[in-house]
Amino acid sequence: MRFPLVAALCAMALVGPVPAWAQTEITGVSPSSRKALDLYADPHDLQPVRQAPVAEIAFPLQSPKRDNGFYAITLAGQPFWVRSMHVVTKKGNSAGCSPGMRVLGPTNSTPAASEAGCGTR
Amino acid sequence: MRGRLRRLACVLPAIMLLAGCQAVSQLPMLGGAGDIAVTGELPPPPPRTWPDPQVDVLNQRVRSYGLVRLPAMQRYLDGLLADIKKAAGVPDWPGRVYILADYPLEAYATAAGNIYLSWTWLDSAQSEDEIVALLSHEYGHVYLHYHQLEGAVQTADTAAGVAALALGVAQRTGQAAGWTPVDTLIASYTVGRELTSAAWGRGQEASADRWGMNVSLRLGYSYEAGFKAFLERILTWEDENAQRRAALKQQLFEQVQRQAEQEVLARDQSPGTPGSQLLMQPFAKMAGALEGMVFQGKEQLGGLWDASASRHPDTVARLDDLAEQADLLPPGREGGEGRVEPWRKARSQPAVANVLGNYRLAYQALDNLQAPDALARARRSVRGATATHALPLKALYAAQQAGRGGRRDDSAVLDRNLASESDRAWMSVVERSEALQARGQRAAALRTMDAGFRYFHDAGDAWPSAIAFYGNVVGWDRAKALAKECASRFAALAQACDKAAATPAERAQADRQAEQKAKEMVDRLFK
Repeated sequence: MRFPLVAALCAMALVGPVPAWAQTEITGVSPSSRKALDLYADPHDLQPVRQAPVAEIAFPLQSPKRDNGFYAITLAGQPFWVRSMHVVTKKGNSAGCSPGMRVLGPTNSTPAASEAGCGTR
Repeated sequence: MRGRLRRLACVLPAIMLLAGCQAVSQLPMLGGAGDIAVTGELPPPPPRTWPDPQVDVLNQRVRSYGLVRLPAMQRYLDGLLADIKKAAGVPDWPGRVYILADYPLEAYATAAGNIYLSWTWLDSAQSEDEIVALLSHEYGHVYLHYHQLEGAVQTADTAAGVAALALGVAQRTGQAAGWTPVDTLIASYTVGRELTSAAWGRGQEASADRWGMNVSLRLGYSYEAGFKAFLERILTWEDENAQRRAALKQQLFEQVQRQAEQEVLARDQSPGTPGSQLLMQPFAKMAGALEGMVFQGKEQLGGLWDASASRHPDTVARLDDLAEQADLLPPGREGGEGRVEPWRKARSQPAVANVLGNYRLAYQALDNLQAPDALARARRSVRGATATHALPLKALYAAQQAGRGGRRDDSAVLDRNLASESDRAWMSVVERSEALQARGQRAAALRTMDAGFRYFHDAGDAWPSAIAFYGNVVGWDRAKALAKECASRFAALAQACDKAAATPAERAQADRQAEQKAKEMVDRLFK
């Protein structure tokens, strides 16, 4: 009985980075053509309290908290909430490019999802 | 070498100008994503014949360090793919999900309906919504049958559209530059094929995004936790990758400068001229700076080339397109945290977590083979389920070699991968054979290559490296006979096989001819 528990704990420890809502880096607005960002007083509000011109926001912004599809931010020293749908955030990954690895080119397939290589073209 | 660099730096922009991006937009088949809506009916799938799925899998095992055998995770992913097919109305279509041993964040689909994604996607994605976004995007490529054009472009000698474009460019620019239309045709065809293929690729991505979003919304997944997170992760990866590449280029730049300085100083090291090195130092610095400028110019051109030929030049544009579509969705359909729990559960199964953890260890070792703990990490990476996997064994091989300064052949560890039929990777065959040959063990090297090539015989991409090996070890007649067979079986690989079968003298001759041709092009353009 104890072994499966230990194994499960070890397995969880081996799993990669866990969701990190604790601190999120907001890198821009979505879509990028958005000219103003709606600012909310509360993550449950339906109407924004004001709008901030995107050109005047110094990205990246750090958000310490997420709630109900909103990120908490501080603008000009004042706390606000922004809809997560309206911003682009940085997302972690455990990918990389090892030096000296031999890589054959893609086979007869559709390279998709992302820039495949590590600049080896 | 230096002369070649300079010539390349001169020729490349000329070729790019001649190929002209504007020509690509004339292709009638470069449609955008506008014809696919993120809600409502999907377009009917084009008819197709399915390639052999087993050969398809074998072909992917030839790439890089093969596939990661992870049955528990594959069952889960196959289940998600089955849902996607059902939602798209094609429940009986073939196709399974396979995991690549690659380090970059990579995924692709093949005409056989299979989806291949790197283990790093499994290690990085944070919800089932995100992994469904990835899978549905990939299956969009299959459903929309974009592979049909790709094959045509790859074997583009008969791609009438591309050839017509190249001819158009030749007619326009040939007179202005005083260059023969034949030269322009060759240049613009070669580069235009790349650009055309890239532009087609961009159109594919946007359509596959919308197709995938349509299907994932049908399945009740959130845009925000799904496609938005998926594309944001790609954006972050591409930014990191760009920084990595910039740092690497800076290192190379400094290396080129140093080398040029040293070359100048070494050339003037005549005995009996005390102090000559001191006198030459300013000239050496100048030579280094000049060489650096040529290098930087070439790199900038390379960057320009990458930007124009990249299939993913603008992930932001893809994200924008979907964000605008998501804004039109009824409230409540676009947002949400996503299905985190099933994904967490699938990833934390001990068998899955152990394999992912071991791949992380293997790449940590490979990232810095000189690190004091590199060998320890590599050893831990081959414990348990990954004991016969190609990539962790490669890490162990490389870490052992680094520790011993390459004085001993440690490639025998790769035999563990070669002995496992389910984990065997072509790269292990190549590296083990080459290592044995380098140590003078010709018979053992041949035995290893023969056995490996027999196993991967139906995988076209194995042929060029096998041909090069046989050319070097057995003889070039054998290599040429194999190249002929390769061309008849795998038309798209004919050129690669032919090149692999070239003797060193033929290769040198081809290099000289290419250099001469490049010089003639520059003379005609600039003199």
